Amino acid sequence: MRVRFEQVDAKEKEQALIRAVGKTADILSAMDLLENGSGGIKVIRDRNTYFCKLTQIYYIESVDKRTYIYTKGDCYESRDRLYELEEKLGMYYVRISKSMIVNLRKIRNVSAEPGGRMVAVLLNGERVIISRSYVKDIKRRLGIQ
Amino acid sequence: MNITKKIFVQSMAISTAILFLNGINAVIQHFAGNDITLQWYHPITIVLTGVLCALPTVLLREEDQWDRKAFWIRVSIHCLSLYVIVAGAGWLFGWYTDLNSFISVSIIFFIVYAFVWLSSHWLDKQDEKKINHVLDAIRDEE
Repeated sequence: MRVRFEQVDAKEKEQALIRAVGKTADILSAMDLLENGSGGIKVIRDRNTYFCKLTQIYYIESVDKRTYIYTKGDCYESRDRLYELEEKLGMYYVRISKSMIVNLRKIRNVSAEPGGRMVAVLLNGERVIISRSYVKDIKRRLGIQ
Repeated sequence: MNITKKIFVQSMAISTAILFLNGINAVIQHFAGNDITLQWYHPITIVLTGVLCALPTVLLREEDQWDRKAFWIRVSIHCLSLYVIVAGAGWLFGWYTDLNSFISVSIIFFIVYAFVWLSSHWLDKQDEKKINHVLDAIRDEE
């Protein structure tokens, strides 16, 4: 397959278009890599270190300078700070408040609250608050004008 | 946006809104046969009122923890603070000619306040629809 690279000046403008006959395993893994980044991050639970795939992460929260990674039913800790993780995560991870990053692919729906905030209901039923000042970032990331 | 910048932007927006409403009122009054004459100090008092009205914005700053009841209490205090400022400024700067004009300003104030909140919420609901529409296309299957 021919691969063509074209440079853009902003992260929001990044996109990849794959023209193929079908979604083969190689193409699906390329899509996964492009959408979710290099695969995963090291996390800790009960003093054991695990490798958490980015596709499993629902949201990441910083509490008292400690960073917690939430998956469907588990909670891990990371040695990285929130801003460091923000750099490593894929395009579907977006900051929704000063202390939280959410995986947009794990949001079931959002609903607007009075005052400009939004509540995001995740696929596991958890609810997280999207601060008013971050709604614009989410719209930009999703390509909404 | 930091709070100083927010207060400055709001001051400009509120002053413009008051001037706009006064402008509309003057046009209506003119075609009704009652021309309005502004005093020399009226424009500057409008700007000053805009600045004063922007100050209670700190009540609506975003908190890390969000509580619906606390939010509505802050909105109520914000609304009443603005009303006290507008009513007080009107009395201090001689905007009212009689009791009826005071009542009209009071009614218009609460209508405009409610309209601003409702229109903001309507715009947020439009964003909600757009975001949910895009999320439908990218959502993981669980």
